[in-house]
This record gives sequence, C-alpha cells and structure tokens, in this order.
Amino acid sequence: MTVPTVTARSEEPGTVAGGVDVHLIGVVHLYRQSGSDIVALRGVDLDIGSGEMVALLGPSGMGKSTVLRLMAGLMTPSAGTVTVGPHDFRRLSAAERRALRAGEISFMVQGSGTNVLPFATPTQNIWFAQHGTKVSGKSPPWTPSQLLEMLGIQDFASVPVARLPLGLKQQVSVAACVASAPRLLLADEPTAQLASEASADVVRLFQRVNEVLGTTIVIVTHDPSIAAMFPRTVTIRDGRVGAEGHLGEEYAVVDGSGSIQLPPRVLETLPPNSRVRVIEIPDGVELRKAELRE
Amino acid sequence: MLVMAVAAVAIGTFGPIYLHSADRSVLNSALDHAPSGNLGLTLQPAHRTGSMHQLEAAADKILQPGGGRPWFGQRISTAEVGFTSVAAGQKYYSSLVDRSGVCAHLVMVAGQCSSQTGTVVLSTRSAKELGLRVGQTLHLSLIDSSRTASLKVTGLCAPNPSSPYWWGIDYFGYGTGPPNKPVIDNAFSTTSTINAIAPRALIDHILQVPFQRTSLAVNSVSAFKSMVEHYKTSALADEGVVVSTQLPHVLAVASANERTPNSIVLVVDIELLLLAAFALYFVASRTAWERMADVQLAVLRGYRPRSTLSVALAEPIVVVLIALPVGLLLAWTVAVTAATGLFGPGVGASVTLLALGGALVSGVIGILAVALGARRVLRAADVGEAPGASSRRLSTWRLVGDVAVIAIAGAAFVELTVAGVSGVSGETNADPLSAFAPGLLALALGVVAARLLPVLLRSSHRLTRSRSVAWVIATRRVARRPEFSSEIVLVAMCTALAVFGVSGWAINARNHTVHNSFAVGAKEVLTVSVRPGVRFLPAVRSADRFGHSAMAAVVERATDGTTLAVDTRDMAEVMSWPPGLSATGSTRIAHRLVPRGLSPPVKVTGAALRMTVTARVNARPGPQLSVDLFDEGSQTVDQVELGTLATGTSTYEAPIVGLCPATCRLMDIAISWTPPTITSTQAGSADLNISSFSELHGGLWEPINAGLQTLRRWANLTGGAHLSTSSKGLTALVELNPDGTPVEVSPHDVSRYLPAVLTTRLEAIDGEPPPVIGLDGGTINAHSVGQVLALPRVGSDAALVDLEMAERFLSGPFTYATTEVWLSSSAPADIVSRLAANGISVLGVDSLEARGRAFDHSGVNLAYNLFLIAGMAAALLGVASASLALAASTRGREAELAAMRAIGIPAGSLRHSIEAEQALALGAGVIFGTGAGLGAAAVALRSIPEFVTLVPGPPLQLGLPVILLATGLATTLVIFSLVVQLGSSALVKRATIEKLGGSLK
Repeated sequence: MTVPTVTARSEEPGTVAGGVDVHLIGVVHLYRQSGSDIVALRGVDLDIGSGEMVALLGPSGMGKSTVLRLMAGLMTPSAGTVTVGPHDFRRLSAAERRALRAGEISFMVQGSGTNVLPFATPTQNIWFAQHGTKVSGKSPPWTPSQLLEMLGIQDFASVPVARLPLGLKQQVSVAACVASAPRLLLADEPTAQLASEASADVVRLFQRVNEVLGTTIVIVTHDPSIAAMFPRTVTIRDGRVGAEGHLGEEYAVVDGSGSIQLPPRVLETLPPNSRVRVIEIPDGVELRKAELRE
Repeated sequence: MLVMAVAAVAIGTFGPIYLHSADRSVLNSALDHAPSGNLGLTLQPAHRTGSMHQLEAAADKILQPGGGRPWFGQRISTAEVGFTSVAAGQKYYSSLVDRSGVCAHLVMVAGQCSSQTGTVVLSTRSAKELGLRVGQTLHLSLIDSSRTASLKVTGLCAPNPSSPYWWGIDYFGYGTGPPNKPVIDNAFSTTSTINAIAPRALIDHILQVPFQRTSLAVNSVSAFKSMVEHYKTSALADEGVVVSTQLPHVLAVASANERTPNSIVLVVDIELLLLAAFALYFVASRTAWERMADVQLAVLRGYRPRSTLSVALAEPIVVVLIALPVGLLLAWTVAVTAATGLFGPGVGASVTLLALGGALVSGVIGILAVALGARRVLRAADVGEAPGASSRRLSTWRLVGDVAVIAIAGAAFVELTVAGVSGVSGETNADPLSAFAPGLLALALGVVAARLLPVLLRSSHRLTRSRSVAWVIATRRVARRPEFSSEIVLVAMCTALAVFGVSGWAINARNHTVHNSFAVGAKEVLTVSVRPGVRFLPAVRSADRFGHSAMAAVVERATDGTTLAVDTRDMAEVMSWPPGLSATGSTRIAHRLVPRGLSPPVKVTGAALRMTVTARVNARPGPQLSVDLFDEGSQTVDQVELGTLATGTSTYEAPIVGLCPATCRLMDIAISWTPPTITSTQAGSADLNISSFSELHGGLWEPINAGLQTLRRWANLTGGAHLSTSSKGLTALVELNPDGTPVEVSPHDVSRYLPAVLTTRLEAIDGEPPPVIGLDGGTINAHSVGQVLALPRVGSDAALVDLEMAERFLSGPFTYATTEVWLSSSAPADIVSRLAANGISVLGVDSLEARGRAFDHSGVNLAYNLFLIAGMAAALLGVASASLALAASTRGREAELAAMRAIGIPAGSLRHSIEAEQALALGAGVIFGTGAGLGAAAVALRSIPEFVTLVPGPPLQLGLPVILLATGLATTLVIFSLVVQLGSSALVKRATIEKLGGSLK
C-alpha cells in the first residue's frame, strides 16, 4: 500500500494539501432565545497556525463548542471575523460554507455514534464521508482502504461500526472525518466517555493524522490529561480566551482590547474590583495591588 | 413503515380492483337474474306471410365481436299454430308447436318424442284432461280455420316450464285462461306435421338467438347496446323482421346498478387511502429520528441540500417503492381470495390499468407522506438554526391547520345534515363535501382531542396532585410530547371510519333484508295455476297440512290500483309485515279485514232446488221468484227461475244440474215484477214467508243450512223489503219495483263495504269510501281499516283485503288476477306436491333466498360490503400503526427510561407509565373517534341514496348496531391493551442502566 505524500494543497488525486491557518478576531456570538439572548462569546481573539494541533479547554458552557462550530462554518458569528485560510466566513454564503465542509474543513461532533453510520462498515463510512467531495467534482486523495491502512485500523474495515468497541468506533470516526483530507479537523470532545487507554489511542491517531497529512487539528476537551498531549492548549473562560498553554506551561493572553484574564488562583490576591498598579518592567509588566487614598 | 406503505398501496389498489370485479358481478347478476327470455333476440316476420327463411337471413346479419367468445349462440326456430280439442263436452285451447331441438329438452315420461309427420307429444296433465294415452289419437280443430286434424300421441312429457330452453314463453300454460276457455299445455310435433295440417298464414314463426351471458366484457357493454339497437332498426328496414329483446333494458339496469357503487367505492377508498397515508406519515415521523444522525452527518460532511434530502428520504422512498409491487400483490391476493364470496362464481379479480394507476397514486401519496414525516429530520439537521424560531413557526402553522380542518369539517357536516350525502335526494352522485364529511369529522374531532387532552392533563395534574410516579410521568409525557397528538388523531380517524363503516354495512344489511322480505311478501311466494273447477282458497287450505304455513293470495292488477286478497287466517304467520309498517301488528290487521257479525254463506251443491213459500201477492201479473247462484268453481253467476209467485202456500222447484259441479253460493233470493205498462203510479206488493229451502241429493231433498229462522243471517241490500223471522221461517214484506228491478233478499254474508288496508295514495278523498278493484275487475267500495305506505309484494297504490270476503263480492271470474301461494318458513317440504294433489300447479317461484342471492351481487350491496371491509381495514390500521409507533419509539426512549431507572424509579412504575400514556392517547382517540363515527353514521346513512330511493315500504331502520359496535370496539381495545402491555414490558426490559453508557447525546 502506498501512503500518499503530503504536499501543498493540490487537486491531484493521491496528494493532500496539509493544514490551514485559522483566525478569530473579536468574535462575539449570541444565541437568540425567546425573551432573552444568551451571550456565548464576548470577544474571542485566537490565531491558530497551519498544521498546528490545539486543544480548547475550559469549563462547560464557556463557549468552547461555539468556537468550534464557528470555525466549522456551521454558524456565523454575531460580530467579529472568522477566517479559515483565505476564507472569511462573513463573506461566504451557506452553500460556500457547506462546500468548505465537503473538502477543507471536517467537523467531528461529540459522541462516537453521531459521526458514523452505525450500520455501515468503516470502509462504507469513509465512502459516505467522501461523497460530499465527489459531488463537488473533486476526487478524494485516497481510497477508503488506503486511508484505513494509513491510520492503522484496516483490520476492522469490514466490521459494522455498531459492533466495534467504543474506542475503535471513535477511531473510525476520526478516519471518516479525514476521509476527504481536510485541511482543518475540528473535534468536539472526541474522547468523552472513553477509557484512558482508548482516549490515548484516539489522540495518537490525531497526532498521526497531523504528522501524515499536516492537518490543522482543533479539539475541545474537558480532560487536562488529554489537553496535555497537545502542543498548544487554549482555555476559554466566560466567552473569552482565558489562557494558553504551550508545552505544559500556561500563559495569560492579552486580547485585542488589551484585556487579560487572570488565572483563577490569583483572584484570591486580586479579588474582583481590586485596583492594581501596572508597572512596566524590562521584559513585561508587573501588577501590584493598590490602596486608594481617602 | 414497510407495513404501512404496503397497506397504503394495497388500499389504493384494492378499490379499483374491487370496483372492476363489482361491475362484473353486477353485470353477471343482472344477466343471471333476468327472467328467461329477457336475454337474446327474438325475430319475427313483420307480416304473417313471413317465413323462417326470412328470419334466418336476418339472423345471419347479427354482428359478433371481433375476437373472443361470440355474443350469440345457436339459434332456436319455432313454428306454432293454435288449436282446440274437445273432451267430455269441454273445449280446451292449446297450440301445436315445433321447436328446434325440442326432443332434447322435453322430459318424456311415457312413449317417445314426436319425429314423424302426424304424431304429437302431450303433457301428462293435458293428456289426462283430454282423456288420452300414448297410442291414442288427438282430434283437433285449428283456431281461425275450419280445418281439423287427427294426430297420434307418441309420448307424454312432464311439464318443465322453468327450463331456460323455453325462453320464459308459457308453453306449459295449463290452467291459465278464463274458466270458460280453459287452456292446456302446448302439444309438441314436427314442422312437417304443422305444415301439413295448417295453412301458411296461420303458422307463427319465430327465431330466437340466445345471448351468451359470459361473453360480454364489462367495458364492451355500451358498444354492445348500440349494436343491438342498430341491428333492430336495420333488421326491420332491410329484412322486414321485427327484433324484440330486453337486452338493452337489462344492460341499462345493470349499468345503473354499476353506477351505484362507483361513488361509494371511490369515497370509501379515498378516505381509506388518506387514512393509510396519514398512518404512513405518522409512522414515518415517529421513526424519522432514527435517520436524523445520518442526515446530520450529511450536513456536517458538506452534502448539498439535494444530497442531504436524498439521505433523509432514500430509505422511506425505497420502502414505498418496495411496497408498490407488494401492495399490488396483496390487494390482488385479497380480492382473488374474497372474489367468490363477494362477487359470486366466475368473477375473478383483475389488475386493471385503473388499479395500476391506483397503486401509483398511492405510492406518490405515500412518498409525500413520508416526505412530510421526514421534515423533522431535515429541520433538526439544520444545526445552525436557533430552535425557538422554528417552534414558533410550527405553532402558528399548527394553529392555522387546526382551524382550517375544523372549519372544513364543520362545513361538511352542516352540508351533510342539510342536504344529505347526495345533495339532491334520489341521485346517486355524491356531493363531495358531504361524502367526505365522516372522514373530515373524524379528523376534526381527532384534532380537538389531541389539543384538548394535554390541556386537560395539565389541569388535572394541578388539581389532583397525584403522587403516583407512573401517572405523573404518563400525564406529563402526553401533555408535552407532540407525537401523541398525531397518535390521537390517527386513532380517532381509524376508530371513526371503523365505526362508520361497520354501522353503514349493518344498517344496509338490516334494511335490505327487511325490504327484500317485504318485496317478496313472505319467505317464498309460488305463482300458481288452478285446475278448472278447483276452488283456490279451500284447495290451499287443504294442502297446508299443519295450517298457517301456506296462504292463498290473489293479486288483481288494474291500471288504477292493485288489490291483494289474502287468506287472513294465515296472514300473521305467513306474510312479511315489518315493524313500523302500520300502527298495529299484522294479527290485529288480519282480524279487522274480516267484518264481525256476518253470517256464513249459504252453500248449494245439489241437482235441484226447492223452496216452500207462503205468499200474499198484490200485483198483476204475479212477480217472479228466482235465486242467484255463484258457482265458485267456474266463478260464474247463474240465475235460477223458481216460478211466478202466487198467493197461498206453494213449493217452487228448479233443476240446477251442471250449474254447481262443485259448490255454489246463494247470492240472493230475488222477487222481480214486470207490469204490462210501466207507470210511476203502479204499485204492487208481495208478502212472503219462506218456510223451507232444500236441495236434491241422490233423489232425496235435503234442507239447506240457510238460517231461515235467524234474522241476522239475512239482509235486504237493494231495499224494498222488510224482513222478519219466526219459527215458521223468513218473512219478507216486499214493495215491488214497477221498473222490473228485483228486490233481493240476500244472506248476510257480505258487508256493505269491504274492509281494506289501503296505501296512502289510495286513501279516501273528501271522506268518501275509496273504491278498490274487485277480483273480477269490478269496483268495490271499501272501508279503510288501516293505512300503510305500501303493502308487501304489491307496493303502493294497493289495497289489502280478505280473500274470502273479496270472493263474496265476485260477480264474475277473476280477470287480471294472479293466483299465488305464500309460504312461511315452516311450510312443509312437500307443499308443492300437496298443492298439486289439490289441483294447484306451480308456475314460478319468488323467494327471499333468491332475492337475497341477487341482492348479494347488486351494486348497492357490494358497495356496502366495502364499507365493512373499510371499517375492518381502518381498525387494523389503527391497531397496527399504534403498535408500530410504540415499537418504533423503543430505541429513542431507551436512554430516557434507563436514566429514570438510574435515579431509582422502579421498572414497574415505568411500565405502568407507558401503559397509562398509551391508554390516555388511545382512549382519547377511541372515544372521540367513536363519537365522530356514530355522529357521521346517524346523519349520513339516512340520506344515502340507496336507502332513500328504495321502493316505498317499511320505514328505514336506522338504529345503530350497538352490540356489534360494542363487540368490535371491545375486541380492538383488548388487542390494543395486549400490544401496549407487551410493548411496555419489552421497552422497560431493554432500558437497562448500562444503556446510558452507550447512549450518546
């Protein structure tokens, strides 16, 4: 079996295009409800480079999945800009966004059962996933069996997904999601409900996809141990980018408006409504608690 | 879903298949039940000089179909000449007949068939009447000719008038004809014999061309009728041949009968098809979530809308496409299986183009239904849409839809109530809005139930604050889950159509049974001929061994009315007298038809009469004393002159030999005076006392039981006499009429007015007693003892009288009367032979059973059978869709139920909650559906044309078949509850806590 080579984006069959960069600039998103609106994102600035692997961390309801859906073009932001490669989603129609999902962007939703047809085999699922690309007049870079072999799950190619264990089922989901060689792979809680070993297998598969295809990969997870396996983490808190982690070290992030979220542990020292002095030092700034004179 | 799709296609296909078979059945039935001779063509020369050759030439020009079986079969030629023959002083009338192939159809009981010139075959009873045996000679005189002939009797045959070979022509007319011109059966001979003894001008030729009943295709009827009409015209113009046939009439009746079920079948089938489509939609929408993940996946994978749509619809459309041939096959199989029972022998089930069209239309409707059912999937898959806006739009559309459905249903119901099903009474074309009213009403009430139940449940929950977990879960689910709404609507529609269909079928069956029985008059009615000289009424009573099972009846038909005279002694037991026909029952009616206080008739049977009279005559010349006798055998009146009445005691005698061969009834004793010159001043009187009245029997004078000492046994109906009685006999003080009009003293065995039950159209006008037609064709003043809309067997414009009473009004023979014997269900099996032994021969039979058989394959009945089929199909559809819906929801509810089990709700409570929610939904549907079905049946059935246009008769019985409906509903509910119990148990068993791990999202 010949493993396809990773090159720049090409229409030639048998070749893949690598990753794509993603930029969110001042993204605000509101969910409209009868009576009141819910603010999910309050101004997210985020840059993800081509071929990067990023894990979005954060508590439930803080906007991680919304960020992911906006990156997938499944929703349009209430304000701000989302660009994926050269594509500014504000300027794209629904059909154009759909066309992107048929080729360049792949979205893996939460739950193994929802990303694959449970009654179909992995091979058939990959065929199904490639259908959108074919209908768009493009040829997928590999056949289903080539992809399965490339990802190392070819032994289960003919077994209906419903019969596979949960971990393998999720690996097939990953395979289905990269069936059309997307440049951006978005995964919402891909390891939820998986045992730690199975979770590690799935993450390793993401890493292999990233290595082999150069795909930009963004996942949402609650699990810090999973996030730790990614070279970059982004913590979403209160609808903003709260922090970033690189190679195990966490950093606060200054957003476009100059705001910065302090880590929760610092809030004991600097509780809300505290006044601080910002003192410039040679390689940065220093915050000191300030007492107002009466 | 496949089951529902197959059901929808099968229903859509079954209607056209059923209609085609029903048309064939109606046509067959019309042809089979047409009287012999009403089918086929009868050719006769337009002039007496015509010949058989001329008829054959004309018959050669009859068109036959281009392919298939020929319409007409082998011809039958007949030559006939009338003759008389005298035996024992009596002249009998008959015809000498040659008919092609006759020897194959005569039932020979002695000797051989006639094959040589100069020979003849007689029927056994004709031979007996003429006193002839095989080998003896029949001497005959030709009618309208002086020629005579003598033919050798070579054989005797048994009459078989009912054989279709005779074409309904009365070749065995023995006993018919007036008493003074008795007719015997035809004699059968050869053409050479007829040609040898009769001049050509006296011989009647006919050529009969039989119609092959099964050769005519349903869709060729119009062309065939046109051909026959054209042939009749051309045969007369070109060949000088008159063609007579009842075929166009019979076919027109069949066509009219075929039209009757068309609208009903169409309406029933469309309603059922829409119901099946709704059931399909229901199941499709309940199973739609199973495809939701696939569709969402397609959206995520960037499928184009068309591709996403195909993912959503591919499966259900494939299911419907698979259902097309399966449903077609199922409908055909059901129709073939039921064909013999429903449509009669020889009628199969064909998949016509219309049936294929029905299948395709059903398929299209099915695809639309599943597409609608799948809309949830497409909507849910639209991951970018905010849920609130979608549900707001849905609520608005639902409200608009509900209002529209209820408004249309209300309009349809009002239309149905005001104008009836047909809009205009008596027409068979249904008003579409009215015709669909039952279905629309069911839909509307189903919608009302579906919207009302959640509101009621929310209120009841607030009020009762039940602590039963099962009840709380059930009521909240039913109140909040939208899928229960469509379940309630579906069950309501199924129940309503089932109730309506079964009610329609039962009411139709009941009314037509009553009307058939009314049309026949009794269980069986024999049209009979009575041997000359035989008294009909006593003969029937004598044949009725056990009594009250055979009733003599005489029907006198005239242009201005019909008189039905029956033996009221047996009327209550034999005659069909449906409830509601009259204010009182038939027993009381029978009593009222015989006036009280009448004396028995005075019967005379001897060879001479003798009357001893003491008279004082005051008139010149002396008045004439006579008696009028009515011969009950020959039904003739004879006046017997006893002589001139003279003062003093005298004995008056007169021979009556031959006048009363059986029995005579004394009509009156008449005193008539004819003065030499008629002036108004002349007067005469005669006082007479009749002390004895006797008849001569075997040389002895025997007193006649005339009741001369009993005044109430005598009457003076003509006036002019004062009557009194004493131990010395009957005294009459008579004022003689100078104009010669006799003063009559009559036995008081008749009343002034004949008691009669009259139909409303014969009721008295301005209080005058209505005249009715007597059995001798005369007019009798009647006294109404009851009023009905119509009378059994004779219909409207008719009077019912007592036969014995009506006979006492006879002054001559029956004229246009038909003699019949009506039989009850208890009539003995040998009644026909017993009647024959008493001189009564059966000419024809009309029975409730035969009419029932004919009605079984009538258009109306076939239409109402479809009501029953539709009702049963609707019930099955309801049970099946509710069961399938429960099964389909299993997978979706596993997680929910597992979660409840995980928080400690017992499995039993969960099971009970499922049972309770299904009971609530199904119960609401069944209750509202039953209401809709009963309401529709109560309003619609009374105006259905087939009931309205029935001949006048007993009132329609529109009572709903409560027991049948209750049984059906109970059975359905038992099945429902079994299905729900099994389903809920299985569902709760599968909802284990482990399922929570595998249930994502």
